[in-house]
Amino acid sequence: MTAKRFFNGIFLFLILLVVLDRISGAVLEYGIYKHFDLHSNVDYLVLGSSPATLDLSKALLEKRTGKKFAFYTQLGVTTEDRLIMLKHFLSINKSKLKGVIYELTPHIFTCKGLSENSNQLLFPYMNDKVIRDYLKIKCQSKLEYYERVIFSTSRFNEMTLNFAVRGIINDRTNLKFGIVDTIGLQKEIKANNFWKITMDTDCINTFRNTVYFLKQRQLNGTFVFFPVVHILTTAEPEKIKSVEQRVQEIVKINSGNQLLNYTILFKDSTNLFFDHLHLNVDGQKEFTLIFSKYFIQVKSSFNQK
Amino acid sequence: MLFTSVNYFIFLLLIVVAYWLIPGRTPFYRNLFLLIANYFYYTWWDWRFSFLLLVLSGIAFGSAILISKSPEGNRRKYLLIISLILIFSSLFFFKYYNFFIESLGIALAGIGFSTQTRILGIILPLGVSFYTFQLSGYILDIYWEKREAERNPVTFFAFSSFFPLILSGPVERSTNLLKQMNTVARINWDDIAAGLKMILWGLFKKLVIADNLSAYINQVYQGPSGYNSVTLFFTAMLFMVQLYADFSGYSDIAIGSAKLLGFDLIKNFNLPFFAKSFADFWRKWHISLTTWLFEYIFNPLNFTLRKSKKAGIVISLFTTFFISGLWHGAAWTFIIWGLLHGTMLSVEVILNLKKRVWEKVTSKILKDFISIASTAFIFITVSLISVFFKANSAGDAFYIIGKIFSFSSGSVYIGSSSVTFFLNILVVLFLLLIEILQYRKIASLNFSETRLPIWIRWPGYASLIICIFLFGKTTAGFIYFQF
Repeated sequence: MTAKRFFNGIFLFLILLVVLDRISGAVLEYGIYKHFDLHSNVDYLVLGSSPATLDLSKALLEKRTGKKFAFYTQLGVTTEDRLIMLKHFLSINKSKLKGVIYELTPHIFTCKGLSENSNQLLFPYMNDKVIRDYLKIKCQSKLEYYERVIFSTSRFNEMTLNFAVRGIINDRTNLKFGIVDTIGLQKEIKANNFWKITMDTDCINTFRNTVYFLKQRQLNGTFVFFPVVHILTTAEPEKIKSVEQRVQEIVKINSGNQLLNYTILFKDSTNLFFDHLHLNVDGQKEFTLIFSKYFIQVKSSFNQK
Repeated sequence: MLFTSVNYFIFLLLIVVAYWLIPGRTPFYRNLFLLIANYFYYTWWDWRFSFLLLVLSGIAFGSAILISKSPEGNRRKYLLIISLILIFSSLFFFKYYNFFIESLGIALAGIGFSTQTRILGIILPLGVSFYTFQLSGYILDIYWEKREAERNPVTFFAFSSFFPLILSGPVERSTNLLKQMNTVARINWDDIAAGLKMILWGLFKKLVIADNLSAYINQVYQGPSGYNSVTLFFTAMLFMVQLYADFSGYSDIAIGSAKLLGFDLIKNFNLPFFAKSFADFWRKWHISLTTWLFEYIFNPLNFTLRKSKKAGIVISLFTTFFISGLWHGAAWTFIIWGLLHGTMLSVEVILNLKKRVWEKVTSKILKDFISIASTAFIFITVSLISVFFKANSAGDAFYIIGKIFSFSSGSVYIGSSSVTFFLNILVVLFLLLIEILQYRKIASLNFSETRLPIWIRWPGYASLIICIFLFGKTTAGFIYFQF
């Protein structure tokens, strides 16, 4: 092989690679938008992280309420990511949205921990300007950012690929059949080895900005504290109280907002939890029924506004 | 600078371009450049490690010259013994000292002596197991007059620290690599293309297959008591695939990188999952180490014990595989792993199934059936033995094996996501498909020749890159780095 033939081959191969990458990236992007219903005209947006994904059944909720919901919920996203996700959603869904259901847990103001690098989950949407601008600031290196600009498939990781595939095959199966290990959890709490609640100022400010942003866009929010296994609530009761109080103060900014607290809803039913922060399949069904019952009662007030 | 990092590929690109731009009628300047690049690469990890490499290379270089100058007799033998002791004592100190001291303490406590063992806080220099074997192999080659001692220190030190090999092999022979370093190579674009393809295939195996399987496997091995027989059995099979994808992936990147510089390295894997016997498996698995062990341990020992016939072979096999186990790690799990392989090979030698059964079968259908059945049997047995390779302790390994054979009911655990599980199975099947193509000689092992048309190959290569983009986000180290 001559040098000329070698470099011609490399050049042609790169063109083929870019074409295939763009096609694959577009298919996956379609899948992830479909999974989160980002392009559909929905009535309500559920915004949050894994508790909202696992604790509420989209199908059951829609069936019981007769309304369409988009679940833009990704594991470990921070308040900052959520605000960007909200802006992203509104940039593509301008008209029909009636309200936002915002997931809360006692860790809502804990920026450090699970949520580090959560912005990685937003790479698949970087064709959208809102997301692109945000990621440009958040990326650890320019290399990380531009690699994803050039190769669209590199925007996906194991989790977002999972979402995209689920979107393409239309699969929302919940396989969380297990039951939380309360003895193990108790031991961890005793050993002081558990995810501590903190009140990070940045997170609080971003949450406040989110509430202001919703008000500005004339959208009402239903702020929901999702169920947490009771043992965990006994570990740091004072901190939980502080978080709840702070949320209450901020939510009040808009009188149309509602705050629901289901933290200790399943206080005596640990068998409904998959782990300390997430419900299992049975828990999901039960919680969705309770939540939709409430929702049917108050939807008229939503509609009026 | 992991082989899977962007930094490594920037480094490799710069080295390859600069290397081929160096003119000269002798390889001196290229080797000098390579030597600097090698030490730059090695000190990138930890500058302290390079002193040991430098000293041991110096010992091998000097002693080889002295051995080659010495006439036949005791002086030559003593020189060999002293140099080997010096080289292996460093390996013993860094890798095995704590293990032996601990084991000795436990053994003494078992017979009633109370001792206070002192564990040293030493870190294992990267690649020490590989380069000590490479250097000792070189000295033995000189002693057995397989080659002349290298007189040029630049060439020798470039050989002993060659960056694609230094961390995890393949364990190269001086008769192969050093010989190539003494010639002026011309750039060969076919080799460059083949090298790039090998690197790509290696990256795919490591990042897409091995690293994605590791999450599932680690989860099961962290708490084996929570899983049923089927899951533990399935995980043992998956671990064998992970180990293969991880290490052969590393080897492919190493061999591909060397190919870009014009060097042909020893092949390290040759479709081991198609092995039809344990002997066949070891001819296909970690070839560079196995051939080293057979060349420098098994053969001399077997020759010494030749009068004992089969008993001699069995003793030699056990000794060789005991050393192989110990080489892999200073832990009882690895020793048991090595001895189990030694046992399987010994059983094969004693039963001599090849002559007794295989050669007597004339029916093609029966031959095909035996061939498939023995391939499956070898894969399953090797996977079950590999439980000792992976388990946290010998106790855990025995527990897992025991539970697998308890045949407890239940279905396979599919992990936290069915989609991820399905994708993992898909990539394993893809690996199998490629290996079948290689086994059937439709695709070649080093990707240099293939019967596949370009409209399949090129989209295939592009798909591999896309899969790496999609799955290759982990930064997990290579399994063989710990050795």
